[in-house]
This record gives sequence, C-alpha cells and structure tokens, in this order.
Amino acid sequence: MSLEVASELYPLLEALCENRQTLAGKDRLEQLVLSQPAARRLYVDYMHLHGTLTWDASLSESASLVAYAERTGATSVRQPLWTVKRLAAIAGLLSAALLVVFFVSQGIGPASLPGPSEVVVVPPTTPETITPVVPDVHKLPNDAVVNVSPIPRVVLDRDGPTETVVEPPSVTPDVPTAVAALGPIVDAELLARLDGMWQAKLDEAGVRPSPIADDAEWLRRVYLDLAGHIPDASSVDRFLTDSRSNKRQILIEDLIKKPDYVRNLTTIWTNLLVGRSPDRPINRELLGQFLREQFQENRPWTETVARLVSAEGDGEKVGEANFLLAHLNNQAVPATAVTARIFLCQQVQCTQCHKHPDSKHGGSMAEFWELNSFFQQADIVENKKYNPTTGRTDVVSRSLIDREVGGPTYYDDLKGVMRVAYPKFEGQEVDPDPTVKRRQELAKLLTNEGQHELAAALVNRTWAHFFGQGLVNPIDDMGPHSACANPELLEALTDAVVATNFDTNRLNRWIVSTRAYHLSSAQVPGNRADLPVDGELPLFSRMYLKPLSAEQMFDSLLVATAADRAGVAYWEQAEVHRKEWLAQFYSVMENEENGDASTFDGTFSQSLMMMNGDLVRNAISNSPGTVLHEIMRMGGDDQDRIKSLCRAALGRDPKRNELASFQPILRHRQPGSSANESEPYGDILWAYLNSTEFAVNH
Amino acid sequence: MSSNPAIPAVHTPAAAQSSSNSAEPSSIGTGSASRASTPHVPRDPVSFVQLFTKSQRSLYLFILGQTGSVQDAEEVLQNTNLVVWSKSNQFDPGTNFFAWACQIARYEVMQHRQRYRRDKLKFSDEFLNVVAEESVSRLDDPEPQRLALEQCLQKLSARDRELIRERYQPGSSGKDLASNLRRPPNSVYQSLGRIRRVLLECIQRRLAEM
Repeated sequence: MSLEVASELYPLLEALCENRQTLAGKDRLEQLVLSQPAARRLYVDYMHLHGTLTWDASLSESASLVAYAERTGATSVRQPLWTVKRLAAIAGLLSAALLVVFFVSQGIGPASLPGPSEVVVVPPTTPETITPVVPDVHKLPNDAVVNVSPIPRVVLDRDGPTETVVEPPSVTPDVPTAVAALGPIVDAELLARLDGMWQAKLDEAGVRPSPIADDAEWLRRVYLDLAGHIPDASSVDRFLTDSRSNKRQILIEDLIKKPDYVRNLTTIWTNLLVGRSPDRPINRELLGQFLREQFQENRPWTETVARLVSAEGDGEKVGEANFLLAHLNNQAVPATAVTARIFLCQQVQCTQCHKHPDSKHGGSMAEFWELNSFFQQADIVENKKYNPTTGRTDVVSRSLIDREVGGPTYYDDLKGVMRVAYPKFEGQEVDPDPTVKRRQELAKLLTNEGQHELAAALVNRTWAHFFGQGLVNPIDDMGPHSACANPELLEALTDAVVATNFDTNRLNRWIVSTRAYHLSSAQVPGNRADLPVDGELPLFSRMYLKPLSAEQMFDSLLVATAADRAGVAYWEQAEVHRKEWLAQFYSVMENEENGDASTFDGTFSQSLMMMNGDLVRNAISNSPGTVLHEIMRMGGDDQDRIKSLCRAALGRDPKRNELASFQPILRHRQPGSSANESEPYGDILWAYLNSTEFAVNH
Repeated sequence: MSSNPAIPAVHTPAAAQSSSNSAEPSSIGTGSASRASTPHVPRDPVSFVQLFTKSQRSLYLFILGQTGSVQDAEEVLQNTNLVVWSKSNQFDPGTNFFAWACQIARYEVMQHRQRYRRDKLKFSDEFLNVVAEESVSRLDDPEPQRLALEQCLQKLSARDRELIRERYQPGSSGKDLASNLRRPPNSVYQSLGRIRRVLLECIQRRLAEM
C-alpha cells in the first residue's frame, strides 16, 4: 500500500473509532476501501484491533488485556480472562433454557419408554412381612473418649526442588482448648443429643416420623452411601438371615473398614475438586491417589484442605497439586470460587461482579478479590522435553509454582474504577511482601481462624450426602442469608468435628447412626407435610430419595450383574470401561466456576444408555461369569431364580404382584432349548435394572 | 457465499415451518430427521453452546467492521444471537458454525441499517459486502492476532499503555478521556490514533514472523 493511502486512511479510521466521522470522511473511506485491496485489509485489521480492545476491556474487569500485559511475565501460561464473564452468563442462561426446552420437547420420560417386556416394578412401600428389628444404634464399638494424638508435620513438595516444611496447618494447638470448652466427645452421648434435637424439630412441626426401614431397604442404602455401590446378593442373604440385634452397627464398622469406602470418598471428593470430565490437562488419578491415602489413614480434614490449597510441584508427581492446576485459569477466579464453595460451602463468585445480599465472606467485591489475592503468586509452568523420535519438544507435565510477587490484585469496581485488593481472610490481613507464601498463609487461616466454618461446611456436605438434603440448602450457599433446618444440630455436629480434630470417619459414623438415618423412605400420613422439594426446610422425618450418581450406577450395575466378566477378564479393563462410560455424560465448562456439563441427570440420555448400552446388554447375555449365568446354572425353580435375580439387582425379595406379572413371560419360553431358556430371565433382569427403584437410593 | 458447500443454508422461517409440519411425532430409534425438526433444539446441545460461546468475539468483530460503531455492533450482536438461538435446530453439527452465524449476522446488519436508514453516515451495500467478505476469512482463527496484540501491548511505553487502558474502559470514550486528562480533545485523539497505529503495525510484523 502506498504511503499516501495509508496516511490518508489512518486519520479516517481514527475518526471512525472516536465517533467523530464526517460525511465527507465516510465517503472517502468507502472510496478507498472499495478501490484498493490493501486499504480494505487495513480497514478490517484496524477495526478488529479496535473491537478486540473494546470487547476485552468491557468483558473482563481487571484482567483486561492491558492490565494483563502490565502484570504478567511472558512465561505464564495462565489465560487472561477473555470473554469470560458476560459470555459465561449468556451461555449459562442459554444452556439452561436449552435443556429445559430439550426435555420438554422430548415429552417422554423413562417411564413410558418401550422395553422388551411389559413389567411393572413396584416401588418400595411400607414393609409387609418382615418385622424390623429396631437396632440399638447408639451402641458404638468406638465408644471412647476423644483421643488427641499428636499430628506429624506435613512435608510438602515431595519431588520439588525446595525442602519446604510447612508448620502443621491443622488445629493441633487449638484442640485442647476446644475439648476443654466442650468436654470430651462420647459417641453415645452425642448421638442421644442429636436424636433429641431432631425429635424436637418434629414435635415443633407436629410431624411424625416414618417407621424404621426394614433390613433390606437399610442395607442397600448404607452400602450405597458408604461403599458407593449396592450390596451383592450374598451380602444380602447374610444380612437378612443375621439375627444379632446390633447387626446394623456391626455392618457400619465393617463397611468403614472396606477399601470400597475409601474409594467412594475418593470418588466423591475428586469429583467435587476437579469435576468428572477427563478432558482437563491434569492428572486426575494422582489427585485421587492423594485423597485415597488421606482417607485411608483417616487424616484430619484440615490437613487435607491445607495440602490441597498450598500444594506445589509437578502435577505428574504431586497428586494434590492437581486441584489448583485445574483452576488457575482466568486469573484464578475459578480457584477462588471453588475454594470457597467446596471447603466453606460459600458462594463468592457472584460478588465478583455485584454485592451479595449479606453473606459473610465475599459480601463485597473487595472480599472476593481479597481472597483471590491469595492465589496471585500461584502460576503454572510447563515442563518440556525433547522427543528424539519426533524431533519436537513436547510438554510432558505442568507444575504448580509460587512466584515471588507481592502487592495487591487489581480489579475494576462497578463504575469501572480500578481498585486494589490485598490478601485478607476472616479479617486477618497477610503481609503482601513477595517472600510471604500466600497460599500457605491461606491454608493456616482456613484451618485456624476459619476452622469453625470449615467444620460446618464439612458437616453440611456430609449430612447432605447421607440424607439427600443438607441442613442448609443449597448445600454450598451457607451464611446468614440461608435458613438452617436445625441450627442446634448443625452446631453440635460442628463442635464435635472440631473437638475430634476433623475426624471424617467418626463424622460419617455419627450420621449413619442417627435415628433419622434408619427411617424408611416411605411416607406415612403423619409426615406428608415434610416436603423439602417444595422449598420447605427438611425435617428428616423419613429418608429422602437420592438418585444414584453415575459412578454408583456403574459400580452397582457391575455388582448386580457381573457384566464386566462377560468377555472381559481383567479388572483394569473394567476400570477403563468405567472411565469411558462416565466420559459420555460429562464435558468441561471453562467459566468462573469451571464446572462440568452433565447429561447424567435421570433423563433421556441416561435412560437410553441404561436400556441400550453394552453394559446392560452384556448383563443379560447369559455369558459365563455373569450373575445371570450363575443363577441359571444353579438350577431351582422359577421362583428361586426370580428371587435370586431380585436380591442381586434390588437387594430384596420379589413382591407377589411382581411374580404374577412375570408369569406370562415365563410361559412363552421355548422348552428344551438352552439358548432360549435364559432369555425370559434376561428380560426380567433387564426390567429390574431399568426400574426407578434401581436408579434411586432410598 | 451460498454456493460454498461447507456453509449450511439458513432456512427461511417458512421452510422451517413446513418441515416441522411434515415430521412424524418423534419416537425412540428414529433417526435425526425427526429430532432436527423439533423447534429451538440443537441436535447436539452441549457442543452447540460451546461453539456459540467460542464464536462470540469473532462474531462481534465481524459485525463491528460493518457497523463501524461499537454500540451498534453490540446491538446487532444481541439480535444475531437471538436468531442464532431460534434457528439452532437448523444447524448441521458437521458444518462451519462461524460461517453459519456470519450469514445470520449479515442479515441482521441489513435489518439494523434499515431501521436507522436516516443516518447519513451509514455505509453503502457495496462497502458492506466487500468488508464482510474480507472480514470473515480473517476471523476463522483469531487466536494469533490476539496473542500478537497481547505481546504488542507489553511493548508499549507505560504511558501509552495507560492511555489505551483508560480509553477502553467500559463506557469510556476519547472525549471523556480528554476532559479527564484536561488535555485538548484533538491532542488525545492524535495520541490514540498514533498508539493504535503502532499496535497495528506491531501486530502485522509479528504475524509475518510466525
């Protein structure tokens, strides 16, 4: 392009961008652009530059391009907050609207889907024949006084270059005072108090609880909640015939010792911390391994939280580093939001843009960015390695590091004025000096000054895990603005958690030992008013229904059918299958909260997968090794076989009307042909597996 | 444009109407034909939202080239999004989403111009056509430009960078900036023009080096 054209074009473009274009200027601009390709290119490039600057500035407060360029080094791989805020909001709204429309427009629920046989599986009602043995739930084996054992020091950076030793961020020094204030925790005494508080709320509301659940219902529930899958048929047989009066308490202890209990907790917390999608560039397995070790040894929850928040090192070597490696994008906004939401059950990401009504943390934008400021030093570096076969240098892993930077975080307030935020949590300011490791400071604050909130959040989340409803709902929006179903009970459990030095096993044991946890899920006339789905505070007068999670579903299908043994000989391969199976339901959303998009929600795609997936097809294929094959091999009459199938799939005996409705299917089979002999049983099993009863924990 | 086979056709409302009337009630196991006719439902909801989100910036730049004004561009983008949304069921997942959305945006630009036809400063049809064509080819992969801009911003002097930052604060304009800085507007315009030119030339150099 000739210089004259350029020097004529630039002032015209400048006038256009500053809204002071003249008619003559516009005509000349058109003329140049239409007649000269070079002018056309310049025009387009100039407008794209102008647009990019406008777009990024208006959509991303403090992390706009310019601010970003001012503050970061070139080696950083953190992404600037591009289009995040407004777009995430648009996309969120749209996807919500979309899903609603999607499901409405399909107009069909799983119930009306055609199946191979017309079988109605009746949901559980009140127990008919079995007289429930009301267990003495307060007789705990570990009826001991709280044992305050010294906690060894936590060494971070197992593979890192520096030998960083963090003072134990756990509450060791505070425990004696807490215990002194509260007195030692005696399990039976605590449980009696919890049950009293629960009963008081029922009396207040004039609601009567459902009866105690029968053994089959309770067994399936406690297996799903503690071990993460349904009981296998032989465990059902054993438990139902066990006549000891304290068999429920014995079972709780057995389950807590099982590897599946640790695996279940690991799955739950891995999902909470980094989501389910396998697409993030982190080592999910290694994070899981870290959590598994913590749960295996029942380490104090404070220690686990502190290590997750302050982790440093290579994600391929240091498992706990993968939590923040997943959330440092977008100026660590997700790291801030996820930390508050998962560990403190508080929603702070909304205050990033506006004032929250009156929640304690992040009540203002300033508080959001003060918390965010703790993550300001954290950064990700890519570790590269030369690959001799391809001749290229590949990224082999990513490390979580702290840079020695100090000072405040910058953000724009609602009027577009730039402001600064220094690291501050629970009113405690931290020295903004570059040499102060902010995440380690945050870990200490969370587990000392913030320990009451950390404990309350753990209690609420755990309670919701077992009851399907938290004491505060939504689970992770605790604060003065949220009503609590039973403040005394929450307080008592929170104090007990603090007093027992954040012993998660003990918390789980208390909750599954409450009277409320042993109730039937069936409604009785006396508790019709207890309807948390209508927005009422839950009274826990019966067990609320909980849909199985994707993992519970998969693992339960394997337990019920041994479908993984059809053609697949190795457990490792089954693990791979579980991952693949889950992957079809989840994908990553990179926004302020780094959530997952899921289609495993009890609706259309889940039902299709259940009905037509390979897993269920294998289950009813009568291949050697499967539960169906075993049942066919054992012989017995129709009744025996159906009973075995029902126990395997639903953990209970078939009901009379179920047996009656199976009769036509059995009558139509071809006698003599062994290939066809299993077919009606396959259909019956298919029906059980696709029943709502199977998909729900009740 | 429409002769390019990679770009899916945008159905007219009439066509959408007739296809949904002729469709059988959907049932399990029938192919995508019946699902595609369901109003307002993309065939693959999750990836549609992702494509939609990803293309917003490019779509905005595409529109801005034709409106010349950021306020108008925002308005047109919003209208475009509504239409993209209502026609989501017509989008064929195998095809180029951005090209498809650009067709809708082109139409919305025309609508917008029709609405404000008294404005003498609006560009001619011919101008819009050549600019749109030039624009769409550059925006398929906007990432290199974005990265180059990021690096070029770092190279500016601190004063220039601050000036740009203040100019592009939400709701700000060159005029506001001049009164804030107590500088004559013309000198501020000149500075901004100079800095944008420096940035543009820097970006072009960087892209040529890649």
